[in-house]
Amino acid sequence: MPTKPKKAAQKSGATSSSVAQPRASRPVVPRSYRFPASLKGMLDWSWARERLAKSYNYVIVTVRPDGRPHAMGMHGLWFEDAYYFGTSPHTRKAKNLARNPHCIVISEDMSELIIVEGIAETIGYDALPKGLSDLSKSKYGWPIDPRMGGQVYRVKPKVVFAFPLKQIATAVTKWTFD
Amino acid sequence: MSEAKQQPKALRPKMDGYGVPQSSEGMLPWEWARDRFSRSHNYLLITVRPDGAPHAMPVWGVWLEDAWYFSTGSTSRKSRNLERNAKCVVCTENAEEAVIVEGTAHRLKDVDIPQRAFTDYKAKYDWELDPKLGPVWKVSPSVVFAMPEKQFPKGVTKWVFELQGSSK
Repeated sequence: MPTKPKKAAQKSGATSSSVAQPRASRPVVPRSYRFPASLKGMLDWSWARERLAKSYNYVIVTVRPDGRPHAMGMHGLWFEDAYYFGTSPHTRKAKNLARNPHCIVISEDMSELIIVEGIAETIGYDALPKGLSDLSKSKYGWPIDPRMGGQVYRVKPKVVFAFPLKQIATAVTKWTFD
Repeated sequence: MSEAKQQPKALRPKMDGYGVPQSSEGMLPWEWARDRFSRSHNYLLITVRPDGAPHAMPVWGVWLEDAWYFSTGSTSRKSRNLERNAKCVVCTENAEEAVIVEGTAHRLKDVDIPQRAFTDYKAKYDWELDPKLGPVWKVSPSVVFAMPEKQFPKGVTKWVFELQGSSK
């Protein structure tokens, strides 16, 4: 099982806005769904990015040391193609991530469901991207404040799925990040 | 709706710093969670891959008495994950009244699929539950969490189920 990726947290910073656009493709779905084979109708990455940023609540999924999955609702920020959240190091999710950084972040609106598979890393308060704390203040009413004692995590996406239920057959899209 | 065979034990989840009270005042009845879970049209099924990374996908399913039933193709990622690791989480679609079920999945032989799973599935989705298209799985809950946004934090409740018979 992979171990904690603490080092990567140091490499954050100003360059993160130049993130490359992910590659769009179709997820594998059963033939019985009768989805078209054509790529017509696939969504633009900005579709997912806007909805990930707008979501007020998220679900974060981690895996316990014994292999059982764990899901919890939480607040967080989608910023420059990564997800940021804070939690105490004593929570179940923090303990899980310390052992296994693979996680999933899910947006709240099931009719435009977005599933982000990624890797979480801890990030120091001094390494947070500029503007993140202001975004927290405008979205939830408080800045990111080290005095609150938690640890900030950044989840970098590897694969993102979009399931827009109303146009699912043509718009279902998978993005892969290099 | 028929009653569950047993009432799970209601407790508070461990959530330091959120103001969840120690007392049981305001905790929700099990029916609150059961009804919302039953009514959800879409579910998120969370499984774990052999390499330890989690996997989440939307699925349909039906709740009967004390377990949740769904079907998936035998070569799907979730099916392959559950063959290796039967532990899973199922979430409802409404985040404001989130119900999170932690449980264990068992693949059912066709003869063991309850008749009501077929009829309820057809009634709910206007779609046949067809084990020929994908085996039917039964998820038995071990722990259920309710996170009601409007009754937060007093309504936050956790239910613990006794292990039922043999569990893999």
